[in-house]
Formats: sequence, C-alpha cells, structure tokens
Amino acid sequence: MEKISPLRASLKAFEQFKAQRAQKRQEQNNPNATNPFGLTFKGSMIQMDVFESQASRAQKTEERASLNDRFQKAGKLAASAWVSTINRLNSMKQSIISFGNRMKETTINTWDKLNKTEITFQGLFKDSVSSLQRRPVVELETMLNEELQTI
Amino acid sequence: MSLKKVSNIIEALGRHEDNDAVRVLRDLGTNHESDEIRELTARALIKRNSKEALEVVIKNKGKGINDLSARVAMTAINELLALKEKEYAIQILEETLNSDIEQDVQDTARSVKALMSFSA
Repeated sequence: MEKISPLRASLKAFEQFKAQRAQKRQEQNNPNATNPFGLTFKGSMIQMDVFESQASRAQKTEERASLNDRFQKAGKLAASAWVSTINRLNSMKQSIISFGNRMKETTINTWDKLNKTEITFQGLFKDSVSSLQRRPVVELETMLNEELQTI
Repeated sequence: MSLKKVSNIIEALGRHEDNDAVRVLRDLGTNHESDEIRELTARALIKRNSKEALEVVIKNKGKGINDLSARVAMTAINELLALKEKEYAIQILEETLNSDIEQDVQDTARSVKALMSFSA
C-alpha cells in the first residue's frame, strides 16, 4: 500500500478541485449545450429552461387534445341543447299562433252571430201569466181554444 | 201544443178580474179530454176561491172533486184543503149536501167536508 503524505494528499485534492472548476467553466462558456443552433431572443441567448422536453411536450399535447375533446364534447352538448331549445321554442310559437288563430276565428264567429242576433224581450214575456191576465177574457178564450185544438 | 202556454192561459183566466173567465174555464178546461188540462183547470178554479168557480168543481158531476180521474179529483181535493180561506168552499159543500144533486156527488162533498173540518 502506498503511503500518502499530507502534502501529496492536499495536492491531489487541489488538482481534483481544479479539474472540476475547469469543467464548470467550460460548461458556463458553452451555454449552447441545450441550444445547439444558438437561437437568440432579442439579442440574448435562449437558455435551456426555455426549451421543453419531448415528454412534457407530448404530455401537454395530450392534455391539450383531451381539453379540446372536452370542449368539443361540451360544445356538442351545448349545441344539441340549444337545438332542442330552439325546437321547443318553435313548437311553442306554433301552438301559440294556432291558439291565437283559433281565438280570432271564435271571436269573429261570435261577433258575427251577435250581429245577426236580435234580442227582444217582447216574445219572452208575451205569454207570461201577468201579461195574459191583462188581456180580455174573450181573447184568452180564443187563445186557449186554439192551443187546445192542437192537442 | 205548448203546455206551458196553455198552463199560463189557464192560470191567467183563474186570476182574471172578469168573472166570465170562470165560464171559459168551465167550458173549455173542465170538459177537455186530457187529464192534465182538467187538473190545471180545477186547480185554477179552486185558487180563484169564488162562489162561481168553486161551484164548478164541487157541484158538477165529472168535474173537479167528482172527476173520473183519481189524479184530477185528488188534486182538486188537495187544493181545497190548502185554501187559507175555506168559508166559500164549506158553504158550497153544505149547499151540495142539502140539495137534490146525485148521491155520488153528495157523498164526495161529504167526504171532502169532513176532511176540511179535520184540516181546519
């Protein structure tokens, strides 16, 4: 086994530290490691955290696709609901229009009937007992005779 | 025939101020073949509650309380019993009992008088 003196050990540690520092410097001087084409944005180099990994992009695409699906589904549901609402409104509108037309016809018919109808109270009370009582007996005798002959 | 109209005419004659209405009711109503008309006439005459009108339905055979139809006779008797003032009716019934009218008519008048005395 090799004997390492404290001086030698410290020298070795220094060399390792030096090598690490040199590697770090190299990495800092070469920031295009994840930006191989040296893309810039307004004069400054785009860092690696700007770029997305392939996996995250795929995941995001999937999420976006699922969101799109959801929106599409929701859109379809909303569209179908809207169509059914429109249909219902149309049917209601039609029924209201037909009801209005019916009412109009009924009103017109009633109005015509009322115009053609003459209301007279003369015939209603003509044969009442009180009005007959004021007539002469001879007239009542004639009326009764005529009525009894129809039996 | 409008029975309502006939009924109204008969009732109007029964309430008429002219006593000639009794003659019309006697000639046309009490001699009619329809039980309904005779019934209406008997009721109108009794409601009139005059001597002439009550004589028609009490003293005459086949009319009023002496009608061959039980329905007409019973209606006439009921009307007599329902009268508020029965003096004329009792007077005519007594005259009938004391006269030389047919026995059937007298028997009926006696029965009705007995009923009226019970109901009075």
